[in-house]
Amino acid sequence: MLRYILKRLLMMIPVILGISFIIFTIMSLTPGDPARLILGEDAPAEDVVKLRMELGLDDPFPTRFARYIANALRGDFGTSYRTRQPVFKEIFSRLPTTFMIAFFGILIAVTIGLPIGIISAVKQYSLIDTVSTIAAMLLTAMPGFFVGMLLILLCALKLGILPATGIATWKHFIMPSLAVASVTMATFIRMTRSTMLEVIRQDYVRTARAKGASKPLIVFRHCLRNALLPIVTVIGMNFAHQLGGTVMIEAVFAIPGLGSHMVTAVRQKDTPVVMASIIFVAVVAGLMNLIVDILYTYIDPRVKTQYTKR
Amino acid sequence: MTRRCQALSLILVLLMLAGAFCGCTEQPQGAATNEPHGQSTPGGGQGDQATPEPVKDTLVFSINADIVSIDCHMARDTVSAIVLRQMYDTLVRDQPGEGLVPGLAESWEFSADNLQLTFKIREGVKFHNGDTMTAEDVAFSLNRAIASSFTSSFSGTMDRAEVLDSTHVRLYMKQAFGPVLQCLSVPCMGVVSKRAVEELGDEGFAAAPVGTGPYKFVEWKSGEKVVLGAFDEYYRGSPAIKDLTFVIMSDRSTAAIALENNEIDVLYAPDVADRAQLESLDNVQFLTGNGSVYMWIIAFNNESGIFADKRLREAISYAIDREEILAGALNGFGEPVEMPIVPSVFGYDESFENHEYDLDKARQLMAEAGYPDGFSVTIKLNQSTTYTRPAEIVQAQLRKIGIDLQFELMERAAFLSDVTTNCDYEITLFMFTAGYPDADYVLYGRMHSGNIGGTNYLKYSNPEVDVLLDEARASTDAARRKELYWKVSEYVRDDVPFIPLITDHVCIAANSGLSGVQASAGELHYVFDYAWTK
Repeated sequence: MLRYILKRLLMMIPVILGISFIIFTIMSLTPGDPARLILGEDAPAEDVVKLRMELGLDDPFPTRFARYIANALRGDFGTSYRTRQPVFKEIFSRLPTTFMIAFFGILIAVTIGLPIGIISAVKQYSLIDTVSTIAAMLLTAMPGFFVGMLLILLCALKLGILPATGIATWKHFIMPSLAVASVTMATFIRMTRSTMLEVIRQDYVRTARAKGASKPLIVFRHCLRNALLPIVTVIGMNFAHQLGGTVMIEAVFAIPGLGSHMVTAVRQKDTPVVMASIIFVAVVAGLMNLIVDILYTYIDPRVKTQYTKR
Repeated sequence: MTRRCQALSLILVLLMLAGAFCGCTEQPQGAATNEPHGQSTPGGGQGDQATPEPVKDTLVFSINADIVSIDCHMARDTVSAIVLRQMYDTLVRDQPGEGLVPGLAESWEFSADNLQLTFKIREGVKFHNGDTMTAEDVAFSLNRAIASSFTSSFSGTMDRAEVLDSTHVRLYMKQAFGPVLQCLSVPCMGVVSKRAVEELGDEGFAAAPVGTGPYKFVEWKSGEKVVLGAFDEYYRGSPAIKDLTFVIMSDRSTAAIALENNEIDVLYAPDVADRAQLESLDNVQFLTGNGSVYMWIIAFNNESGIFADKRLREAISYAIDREEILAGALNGFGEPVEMPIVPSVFGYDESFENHEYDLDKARQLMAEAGYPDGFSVTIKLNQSTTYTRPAEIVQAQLRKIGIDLQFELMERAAFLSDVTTNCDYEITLFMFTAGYPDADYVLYGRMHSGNIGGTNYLKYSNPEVDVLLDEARASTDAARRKELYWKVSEYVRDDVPFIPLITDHVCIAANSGLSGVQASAGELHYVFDYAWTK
């Protein structure tokens, strides 16, 4: 098992290098000059030239990429062109917020979405199935930021029970988490329902029913456990996605998150920030996949034997 | 078990429906419902902090982007300037409603040739670290600002500053420059503590800045907020607002909701779309200022491409209806601009008239230029409704004379690179901003042939205009300068290097309990002047 984990971690290195190269190339080839963007269109040409020199933008592409990788290997990911702050200082100052919202969002989505999905599958074509299918469709159709705006109107402006913006107290996290949850929940409901339906039709389920096992036992022991594999995958992927993918929700609630940080950096052509953020998210996504794979072994003994054999 | 889940899913669906419902019936009935919280009582309602305090002394000011630096010499954008203005003082202060008043300089004197400017430094001014400001600090700060790569638009004509004696500093100019005092009033020409910069280094200073302003630096949380605290030894007295927080809200509609909900106290430059809602609120005062420093323009590549032909530029000038653009782009909140100078800027004269709207004349010019049936041309645009909305109206107007504008929408980075840096365009609709409120900023920058390859992306070159601009720049005689800018404006009308279109009115929305808030064309906001009245 440990060897497997180590192998997977080592496999991430070429992936990260590949990603770095692609992002760096894209950032260099797309038009736009970071110095000009920082100074604005009114700045005289001599200021732009001076700033380009200060930022080291005039070197050819291979030199800059080699320098970047060499520095990165020594743990120096550079400073933001725009604010001149170390890039990871900015990323880590935003990480807790983003992490909390992603975590609570997914937690809410799982605790609500999973049971609904299970019930929908067990009672296929019942009223509750129809209602939950419609609800899931509706949630899929409504982008998270829109749900966020509706929540602000309801909870902050009409009822006055929750603050609309900021991240000062735990109360501030409720609405953003709900907005994140609304999007992912729909996926979870659909996913749980369809995989559960597949499993329910399996022969061993029929056998279990025939031998007289109680219904909860069949549903939770025999069906859910087997249906859980794809669900865990989706949860893991969603979590990695939420770390960088909640830009609109962050804008609606004025939350300083990782997603908006990345988008701003891309617009400003702030290469060090873009590189560091994407590498960071890539590492997290890789780790999430690894964790999900390890979880497989606990859920499904068959997977475990595959690893231990080697 | 199943029943519980059933109930749960029902609640969920109901919640969603309720959310959707309250979205539909937004304003009219909403205010009438009797909620315990919220803005039901006019004047009161500070949300969850209902503890009876004598006078509130905290303020939350929303800004729409993160700042670039808290070192005043390392940033020049509008947002950073708003924050830096609270922390640093300049030799001359631009006070809304009063104009230029003495700041850290008590008085100043120009030499006869206007090449030297001598300041008498105010005595007894304290820095945030307790040091007393000296002439050394002032000269050091000016030289540091001149050397910075952020300030050339303001300090380009300045050569160096030298200490004369303990209370006098002399600024040497490379050339005489009329708007020099305006330039000295921008935050990026602020005064910093020489000792702090030398002890901490540039990077250290950018983390622990020391100025003389009414607020001192407390904390900057990237992407979230900048926190400042009152500096009680400020030379003009201790500010009434003690804790000042700038929160970053990139979405202005979100900021408008936060203002309505008493989560923020000041929102500058609110979105036009939120205007009616904000004006209707009891807990919000909505102030509109006199114009702004922004001028929407149609710019041409005067040197190459189809618009090198002056008759075509003229034809467009005759085919433009400014009132229509104003109504469509800004819901009418602004003014048409005939002169290439906006009303809030020195040099403006309301009697100036540009070409009248005359389609026959425009068609005639088109025919003379050899395009009686019109032509199709690509207009490069920065992908933002600020520019695309007016451009759509211009597109419709030009169709009447046979010009078919093809939109090419570009990301800001690509747009600046193509249009303003490489001049690879034929026509665009963009904005000229007056960095200091003097006609020199826009006209000299955009029209002087010496700036081709730099800020003159119109590639306009006219020796007669150069002479006028040079003289206006060097003169300090206001009447003469105004006359010169009138002449330059006539060239803009007759040569049509660009077409001035419209300007907007700056707005600011603030909690109604706050006094001292002003809408200022240049976004000059001094929290020092604010106080809570209730």
